Parts: sequence; structure tokens; C-alpha cells
Amino acid sequence: MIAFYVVFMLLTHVWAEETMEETHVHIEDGVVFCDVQSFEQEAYILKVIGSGSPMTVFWQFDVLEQRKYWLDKEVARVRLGRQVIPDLVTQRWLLRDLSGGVIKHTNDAHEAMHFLTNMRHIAVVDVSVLEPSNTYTLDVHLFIYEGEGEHESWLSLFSNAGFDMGSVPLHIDATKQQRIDE
Amino acid sequence: MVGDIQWLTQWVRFLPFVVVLFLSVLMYYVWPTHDYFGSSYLNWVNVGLLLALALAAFVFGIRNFVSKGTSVGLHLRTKLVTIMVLMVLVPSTILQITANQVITKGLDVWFDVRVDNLLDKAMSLAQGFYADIEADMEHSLKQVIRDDNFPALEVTPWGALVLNQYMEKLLHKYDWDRLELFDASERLIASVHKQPEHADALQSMETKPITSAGRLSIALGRYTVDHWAREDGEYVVGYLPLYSQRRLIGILRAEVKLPSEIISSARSIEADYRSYRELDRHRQGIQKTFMHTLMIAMTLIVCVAGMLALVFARRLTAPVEELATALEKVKSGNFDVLVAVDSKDELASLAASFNSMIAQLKYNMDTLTATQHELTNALVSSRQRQYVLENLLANLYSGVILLDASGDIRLMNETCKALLMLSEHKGDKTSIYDFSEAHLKPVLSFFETLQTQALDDLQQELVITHHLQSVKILARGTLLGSEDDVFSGWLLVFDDITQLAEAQRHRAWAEVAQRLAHEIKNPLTPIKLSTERVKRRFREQVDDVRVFDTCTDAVINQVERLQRLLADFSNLATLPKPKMELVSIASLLQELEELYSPYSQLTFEGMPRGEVYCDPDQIRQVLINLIDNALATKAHVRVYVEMTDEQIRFYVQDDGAGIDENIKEHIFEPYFSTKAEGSGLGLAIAQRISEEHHGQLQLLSASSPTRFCIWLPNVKLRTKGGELDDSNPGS
Repeated sequence: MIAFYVVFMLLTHVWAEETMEETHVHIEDGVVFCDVQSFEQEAYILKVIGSGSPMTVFWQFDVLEQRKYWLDKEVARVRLGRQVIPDLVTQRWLLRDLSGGVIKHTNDAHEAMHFLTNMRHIAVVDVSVLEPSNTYTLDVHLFIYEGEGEHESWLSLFSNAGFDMGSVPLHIDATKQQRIDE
Repeated sequence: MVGDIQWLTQWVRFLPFVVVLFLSVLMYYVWPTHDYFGSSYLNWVNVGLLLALALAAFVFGIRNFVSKGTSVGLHLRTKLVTIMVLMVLVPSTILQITANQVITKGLDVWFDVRVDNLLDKAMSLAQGFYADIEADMEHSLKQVIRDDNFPALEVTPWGALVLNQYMEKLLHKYDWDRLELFDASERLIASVHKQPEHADALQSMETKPITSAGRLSIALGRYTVDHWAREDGEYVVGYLPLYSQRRLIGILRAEVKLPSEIISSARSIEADYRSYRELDRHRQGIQKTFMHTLMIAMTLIVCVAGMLALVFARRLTAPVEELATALEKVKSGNFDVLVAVDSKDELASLAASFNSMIAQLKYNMDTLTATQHELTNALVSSRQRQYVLENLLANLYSGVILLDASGDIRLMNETCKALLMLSEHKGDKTSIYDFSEAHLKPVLSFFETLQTQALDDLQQELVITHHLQSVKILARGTLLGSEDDVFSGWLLVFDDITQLAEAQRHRAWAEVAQRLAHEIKNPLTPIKLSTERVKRRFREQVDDVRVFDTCTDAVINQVERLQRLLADFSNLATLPKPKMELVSIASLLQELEELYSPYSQLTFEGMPRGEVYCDPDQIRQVLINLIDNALATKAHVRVYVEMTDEQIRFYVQDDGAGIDENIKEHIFEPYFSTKAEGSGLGLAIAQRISEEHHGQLQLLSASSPTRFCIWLPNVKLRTKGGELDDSNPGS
């Protein structure tokens, strides 16, 4: 039993490593927007797309209601996908927004990389959904897949738990919300 | 050696937990990290297998620990399984390590830097080809812009022929495959192209809309080069916006189809390059995949080996367990066990031998039990007989001595010891020849007579005198068994016949005395009467009256003396049975005090309240006898009484000269007297009366002051019927 405990502690230690990602939240016109950028994965993504392999990422934004004696309640979830398909011989990279279907070509690998690692001004949830008396957090996760497919199979549940981009508390101003409701 | 085995046994009990620890550490190392981008299901398979193994080992260890090794054969089975698993685990581990090294080296060779450089160069060639085509396109478009005829070109409806001729010229000049002209509204105005090589290529002649690159060209106001990849091949497309007086009047699109062979090669290089880089990027993952695959195989092999070992160990230890269980039953006394013999191997032979041994053991045990039962019964019977014999001998009034052939005493009861006065020498006598004391000489002599004369039985009367106490014994000896018998010896039986002889003597004497008294008493009265008559009638006629009176008085006195003597004789011989009644002690003594009132030297001290159960006439006679004897000393006489719970003691004490030590032993014998006129029967009669009252007359002190005591049982000890309780020691 002691051995199990030691192993468990080591594993939880591995999972509990601090991330150096950047996540910002702001409320604009009654909508919660999020800006997030993953610095840690840039090198890897650049290496992958630079070597010609397609790459697909999914950004997942979860709004959770904080509860004291129970698991946090999920209030809203937004999942956005982006994809980069390289063409090495022409040295062009196809940028594809899986959520909106927008396609773009670029000759700059860094631009392709930033296309995957940067999410700007993402509308997550309407403030009217949230109760001012409750405490909410916004959890952001980044799921990275090599290739063009999403790979959301049961095996991926084990193989890719996603990268934690951090958890940001949502401060809901009651007066503002009252005005929005009116 | 035994200690080592015990230590090993204890260690084996903890082995499953060591295995659990080892598997846990292994699980930690194979646990998939979350920055692992390859396929990690192999890791999870490994983790699952290791977890299952760890749980199995843990459960096994707990069961083993809880059972505390009480299960028969568990240790042996554990050892066998452990050894077999280790036999598989050790080579598998070595194989795993070796394979890991081989895989690592193989990957190093696979991802050699030369291959890397080669692929880079090939990729550069492919990219250079595309870049050259695009550069050519750009250069051609630049040349079109610089063409002197180009500004004169006006797009007019009537100038279509001229336009086509000019575009044909450009097509051939720059070796384009297709050239199209669109107006500002992106409508096709003119199109020229080379002849298709195949008829089915006509479909490819269809005009495609302007792409984003074309719009970008319009927006930028300069040429752009784009790349198309269509089903019929890949194209390099160049867009050139046409302006007139700074107004967009059209857009020119030139296409060059890339050679399919080169494209195919370039795409193949790209695919290989991509695969190689992907593999290179997943190099560690590949290595882990191989290692995990091997580990899964090894774990499965160990599992299978463990299960096979378990099955084998069970089959191997089952007969041993059965034997051990049977041995435990035998150990607890159950011999009704039979071990199954199912095969023909050595274990079956061992089981058959065990069954045979147990059968023989059971037969021996049954025989032993039966013998023990018989011996127990015999012992119980013997002890019962011995107990009965000992009790019989202890309660016998006869003394018994059992002698063996050598004269050693095998048995002698307490009565015999008391009879032969051996109490002081208890335990000293182990042989008849130890009877060396003077008073035992007759006994030894009796046995020697019996032994030396080889008599079957012998009966003699023996007199044993010890400390002035004489005991008359009837001794009977009997020869037991012969030399051929189990036991041979002699049985000597002694009976105290002192009282019997005394009684016989007394009865004979009393009869004689009665006869004599009767014969003598009868003529005495006529003699006395005749003498008195003669004295009265002839006293006046005799010459010498004094002599006559003397003679006649002497006759009369002697006759009277003879009559008194005969009366005493008669009393002693025919003493009547006492008429017992409760008599007040005070009244009894009061009568005596009144009787002896003239004697001033006699004092009665104390008149205790109480009663004595006796014949008052006989007791009074005894006391008178004692008082008379005491008064004869002319000294002071004291009479007093003491009462205890058991006895009432009458004391008569005088301050006379005392009784000579030489005669004090004979004063209670009949006809013994120190007085000339005494008959010598007074104390004898007194003692007999005491004995008739279950009491005793004793001389407590012979020297001055002389003290006699007659004690009688206290009335409290009598039963309701008036009879004495014989069980009382004082009776």
C-alpha cells in the first residue's frame, strides 16, 4: 500500500506541474471574451508543421461554477478547432479554421504556428447566464493532434488529456449585469 | 540449517509484497506522460497488466499472510511458483534489456545523419524545382509588363482577334500552358492555351474562377504567383493586373502545368521527408513502443508461466498436501485415514507406503490399546483386591504377617504391630530375622520351628512379656505355595488370647471355688454350732476352763474366718451383674461420710453436683474397700471427686508409708495380700467391679501419698437406652 501511495504522489506531482501559459479574460458588452496563447507548445508545433506534418488543435473553454462541497458545475463549454496543413515543396501552409471553415494560405511557418497557438477575442459565454452570487472560473485546455483528423476516440481519452492553459476567475459585476438584462 | 529454512519461509511470505513494490515502480516508469504525443495505448496496456499482476500478488500476499502458513503445502507451492516465475522472469528481463539495447542501436542506425542530409537535399531539390518554376512565372510576368506592346493593348469588343493573336504570342513566348484574360468584373474575356495532349484533357480546359491569389494581386496592384493542385495535375499560376490610366481594366492569368513525373517524384520526396521527420520526431515514442510491446509480451509470458506454475505446483503439491493432512490426522490420533493413489509415480508409491504404514500402525495401536485395556482392568482389579485385603487386614483383630521364602516381611498389619508391641520399631522390620528383641524371641522361635521342620502348618500359644506386660498369643503358621508356584512363603497369624485365657482361668477357678465353698461351707456351720454347744454344755465340766475357752473360741473364730473367706470366694466367683442406675454423687459420698463419721482422719472434700451411672451398692463396696485399706495406714485420708466431660473420677488418698515398688504390680491380683487376716481378694473384686462398669481402678501413686483412682464413664456419654456408646474411646 505504501508503494501505491508513493507512486500516486509522484504521478500527481507530475500532473501538478506549473504551466507558463498566458490566459486573459475580459467582459465586453455582456459577453465574456478570452485571449489565450500557449508559449510552451510553440517550438513543438513549429517543428511539426515545419517538417511537413499537418497539425490540428482544439481549444476548449470551460466556465465552471465553484462549489464548496461538490465538484464544480460546468456552466458553459466552447470548443474551437484549428488546423494547419503544410506543403513542403511549395513551402506554403494552409490555415484552416475548423469552426468557421475559413481557409488561408501562408508562406510563413511562424504565422501558421501562431495560428494554432493563439486565440484572440474568443467569445465564451454571455454574462446573463451567470449568477452574480456564485463564483465562476474559466478553465482553458489545449488539445493537440498530429495529423488532419480530430482523433477523438476512446483511446485519446487516455493518450491526450490536454494541456492546462490555466484557470481564470470570472468577476461578475452585478450592476452591469442588471443593466444588460434590462 | 533449520533456522535458515525458517528465515527463508518467513521471507517467502513477504515476497508477494516485494513483487507488488517492484511492479509499482515499473508502473511508474511505464505510466504515459501527458506530453507524450504518440500512441500511448501500449503504455496503458502495460499499466493495466502490471496493475492486475500487482493486485494478484497483493491479494495472494494478504491471503498468505492472514493464513499464517497454516494451509498445508502453501509454502511449498509458493516456493515452486516463485522459482518457476523467477526462471521465466530472469531470462525475460535479460531479453528485454538486450532488446532495448538493440532497438536503441537500430534506431541510431536508422536515423543516421547521412540519411538526414540526403533527405534534406532531396527536399531542397524538389523545393528548388517549384521555386524555379514560380521564379520563371514571376520573371515572365515581369517581362509582360515591360513589353512595349502591352500598354497599346486595349480591351475592345472588336479587338478580340488581335487580342487572341497577342496572347498566343505570349503563350508561346513564355512557354505557358494557358493564358486567360479577365475584365475588372472577373469575367473571362480571352483565353488561349496549348493543344491538350489527350482527348480527355478537354475537361481540364474549363475556366476556373479567380482565386484569392488573383484578388490579392488586384489588391496589391502587382503580380502574384500561386500554386494549384488539381486532379489533373499541379499548376503554377501567375496573376497580373492590367491598368489603364491607373484604372484596372483586366487581369491576366497564366498557367504552367508542372511535369507529372517530376511532381510525382517531388511529392514522393515530400511524403518520405514528412514520414522520416515524423518518425524522427517520434523516435523516442517508437523506442518506447518497442519496449512496451516487449514488456507486454514479457508480462504475458510471466503471467502464463505463473499460472502454469500454479497449476503444476497444485498438481505436484496435492499429494503432498494430502499426505500432510493425513499425517496431521494421525498425529491427532485418527488412524482411519487413507491417501488416494491415483498414479504410478514416486508420490503414488509414497502414498501407498504411507497407507501400508498407517494400517500397520493402526493394527499395532489397536493391539496396544487392547493390551492396555486388559492391563488397566487387571490393575484395577488388583488394586481393588489389594484395597480389600488391606482393609480386611487393617480391620482384623488378628495380627498377620506374610513372609516370602527368604523370610522377608511382605505384609504386616497394624494389629500385628500392636500385638507384638512393634509400634516403636515401625518400619525397621523388613525380615522375620529382625525380630531380635527379647520379647519377640518366641515369635522368631515359632517361625524357625515352622521353617526348619518343614511343617505345612503349626499352632502354638506364645507368651510375650514386654515392660512387665504379658500378652498371651495364639500363633498359627501356614506354609503358602511351593517352589514351583509364583509365590511361596509363610502366613503367620497371631491372636491375643490373654483375656480369653484369663476368662477361661477365671471361669475354671470360679467353678472350683464355688464347689469348694459349697463343700467347705456346709460342714462349717455344724462345726461352729457344735463347738458353741460344746462350749455352753461342757464348760462347767472341764478342769481347765481357760484352756477350754481358748480352744473352743479358736475353733469358732477360725470357722468364722473360713466362712468370711468362703463368702469372698463366692463373691468373686459369682459377682452379680451390676444394676445400673443414675445415682447422685453427693448422696453416695454423703452415705460414706456418715458411715465413717467416727474416723476423724478421714475427710471428704467437695460434693460435686452430678450423677453417676452405676450400681450404687457395688461402687459403694469398692470405695469402702479402698477407704478401709487407707484407714489401715492410720494416716490422714482424703476422698474427693473430679468430673470431666468423659469421666467421673473418685480419688482415695492417704498419707501413709506407701506401697512397695516390688509389690505394686501384684496388688490387683487375687489372693495377694500384705495383711495376715486379709483374703487378698478386695482389690481384685474392686477392679472387677470397675471393669463391669466400663471403668477402671488404677494405682496412680504408690509412694506417699498413696493415691487410688476409680473412674467411671460420665453419664453424658450414655445413650437414651441407657447403654454405653461402644464407639467412645473411653468406654
